[in-house]
Amino acid sequence: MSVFTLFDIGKSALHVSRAGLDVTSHNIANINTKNYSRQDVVISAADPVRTAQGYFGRGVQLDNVVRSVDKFLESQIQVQMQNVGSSTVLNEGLSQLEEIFNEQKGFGLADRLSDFYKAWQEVANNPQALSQRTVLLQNTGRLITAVSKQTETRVKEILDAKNKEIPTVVGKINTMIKDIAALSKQIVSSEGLSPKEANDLRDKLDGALKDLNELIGVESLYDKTSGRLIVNAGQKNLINGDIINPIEAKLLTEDEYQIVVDGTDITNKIKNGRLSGLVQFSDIINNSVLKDLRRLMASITKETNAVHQTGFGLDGSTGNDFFKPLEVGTKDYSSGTNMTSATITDMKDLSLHEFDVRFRSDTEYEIYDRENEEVIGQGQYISGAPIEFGGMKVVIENAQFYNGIGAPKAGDKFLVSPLLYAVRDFQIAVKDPKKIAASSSAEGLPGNNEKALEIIDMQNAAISDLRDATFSDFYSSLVVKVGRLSGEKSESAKFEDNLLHEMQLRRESVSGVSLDEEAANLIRYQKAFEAAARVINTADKLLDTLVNLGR
Amino acid sequence: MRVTSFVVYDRVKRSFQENWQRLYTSNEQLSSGKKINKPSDDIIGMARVLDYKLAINKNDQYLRNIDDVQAFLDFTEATFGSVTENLERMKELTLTAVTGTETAETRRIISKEVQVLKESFHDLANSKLRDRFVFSGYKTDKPAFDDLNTYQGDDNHIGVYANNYTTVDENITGLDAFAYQQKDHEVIPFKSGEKYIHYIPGNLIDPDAPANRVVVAVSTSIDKETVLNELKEGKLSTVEDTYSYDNFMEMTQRLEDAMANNDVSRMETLLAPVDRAIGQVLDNRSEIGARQASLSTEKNHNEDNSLGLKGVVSGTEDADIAETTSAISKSEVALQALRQSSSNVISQTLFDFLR
Repeated sequence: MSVFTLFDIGKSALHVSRAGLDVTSHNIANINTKNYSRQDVVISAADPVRTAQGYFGRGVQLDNVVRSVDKFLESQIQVQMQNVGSSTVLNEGLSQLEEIFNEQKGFGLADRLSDFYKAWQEVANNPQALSQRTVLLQNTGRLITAVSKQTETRVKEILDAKNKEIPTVVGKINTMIKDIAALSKQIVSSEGLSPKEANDLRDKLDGALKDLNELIGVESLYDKTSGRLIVNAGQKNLINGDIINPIEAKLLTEDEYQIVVDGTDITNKIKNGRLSGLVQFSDIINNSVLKDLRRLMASITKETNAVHQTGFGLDGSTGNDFFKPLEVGTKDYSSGTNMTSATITDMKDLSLHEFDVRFRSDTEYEIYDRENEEVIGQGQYISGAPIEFGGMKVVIENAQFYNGIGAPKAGDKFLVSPLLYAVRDFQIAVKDPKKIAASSSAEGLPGNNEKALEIIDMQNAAISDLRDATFSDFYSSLVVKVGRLSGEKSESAKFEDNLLHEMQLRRESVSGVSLDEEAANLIRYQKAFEAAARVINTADKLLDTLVNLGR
Repeated sequence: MRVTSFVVYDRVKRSFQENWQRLYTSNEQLSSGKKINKPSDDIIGMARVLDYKLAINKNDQYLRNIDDVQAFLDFTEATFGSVTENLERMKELTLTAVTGTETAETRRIISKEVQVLKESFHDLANSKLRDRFVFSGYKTDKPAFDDLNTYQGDDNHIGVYANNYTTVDENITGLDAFAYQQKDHEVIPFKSGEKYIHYIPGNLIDPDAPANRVVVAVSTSIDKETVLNELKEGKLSTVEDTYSYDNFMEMTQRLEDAMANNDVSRMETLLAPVDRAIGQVLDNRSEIGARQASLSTEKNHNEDNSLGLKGVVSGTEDADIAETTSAISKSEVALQALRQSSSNVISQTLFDFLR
């Protein structure tokens, strides 16, 4: 025990108080920093010295600087960010989509469709007059414009805008992955094997993982032995220590993307995050909204033509289509073969279902009905041989490459659909009002209106291709479907957002900086510093006294 | 829970947002007058509104169809009015002509008037409405009767939808209107019973004859078979006079000829057919009356139905203005209160009190 011990104790107190002031100032400085967690010093009494008289304290020591963080809450927030990411994008897209079908604002097809039938009624009332027939052609033109130019084009515009985002989001994700891997490497090297955490770096990493989760749902964990970060998406490693697997957005057809990691398709395995929301949105549009719209128009085309063909125009012409007849559309999901022709063989057999011709092996194909979700046929593949099903005929041939001839392989498929172009090609075939076939016989001209009545009748008929709905019922159910989707997603976006917000408030209550607290801490450490200085001052005086003893 | 300054800031920010959103929704409802502004606002209501609007839309068209048919029937009815007048005048003239006091000369003068009536029948039968010949069946581009009084139309009726399921016939064909079918072979005594007038459906004599042909024969025999056989074989023994007509115009022509030729007995044989023609036109007019009655019932029903549907649509999609206005003022008051309280809460920390 000497006076010098007093110096040491004073010095340790000064040191700790200054550290306290440092940390407090750091907190105040970062009060508005995103992802920052409040830090605190951990101090303890220094190990005492044992003497014959007892244990004497040796002052104070600084053990650690820790951040206030609830790790479980952090991972909950990460998961919640995924939900917010996907529900936000679905809400954006669907509320835009809803505006297209907003019958309440006079958009939409309902009026155009009933105008079409009103014009037919007028033709039936006065079958011999050209003026009513001309009005019918005009109203049909307006229906076509409303369907193809307005509805389908605008739906596709929204789809395009969201689809274009997919590569952008993928690019962002890849940048983030790189940053996260670098950050985690920095943490590992800076922490070494010490149990002390690199607080600010950890905060940054947590923040970066949250941002990543908003874009793509991932699972992140730390390797137990090396402490390295592992990030998985769709059961594939994005990050494993130093190894980074960037994700890739492959354009499958004009409006479908495939998400690939390290050669594996994970499109349907990513469950959440903005990217998954974009993929889901594309699926809703392609396989539900557009398909329904196309089915409706295909059905109107098919049914109207069937009746119109049997009727007679004022000029005695018969066998004419009213609308441009349906054609088969195809999408190619194969690499070694081409579909060289696809035609309708029998309009009566055409069910308005979509089919996949898919290869089970390099020699066998099967035909899959997407609507009924069943395989309806199969066969041996011969290049160039026609394949017939559902009133259609398709021909698949081996592709010719500059370095040889292609061949099918298992998993290749073709979509064969009479719906694909039903709206794009929705056009009027009758140009001359005289050729509108209102009459059921050549003898009955011009007063016979039986075919016109038959077409009007269809307005109230249950159409089997439309699951026994009438045209307008089917359209109404499409509007209601879009409204329901939009309503649901907007609710869930609100819900997820609220949930995230509650979590963030909880995080704030654990990790947030309070200016009042920090002000108090500032005073506390300042006073402690002053007292420690006084200790040194006292020690100095004691030493002074001792030095001057001999004088 | 530990509350930090951020929590307070954030709470204030979100409360503002919520209030503004409420204000926006109410404002949108007030400015559009509707509580359903997009399908997702109320999908069940939306489906209903779409259904009802379609029904109202269709009703509008059916109303137009009904108006069309009514105009057509009104026109037909007016035509029949003239036909009846003509027939009645013809009956008067015939009754005058058959009296013994008339001379050949006066009968010839009367025949001139009958000729005018005949031409009038021809014109009436070829009436046009909206550029269509009314009595030609489907052949609306051809006059019902040509110059030789041959029917050129057909026996079709043009149907028009009066509601989703029922069509109403618009026209009466020329044959129904201006020719009648002799149902059976009828015999009535002619002049105190010494002779008999036979009215025979034309197809009993000649299977190829038009359905509306009526053959008139004056015979000393009452026996139908005898007269029929004589006419079929063309060897007349009991039959003293015979002639035929296919429609009103031809019937009038026969009358005109009889008057011009001073043939009183023929005139007398034509009295019954003229009466029958009057009866037939009356039948047609009551048929039109029945159609009109059912159309006006349909029309009333249609209008009632549309009115009811419009009420339901309005109840479903229209905003309650009073309710919306009070919701707006409520949100405004809330916003005001929020501004005041939050300005006090967020402005101060401990630092403000440190010296």
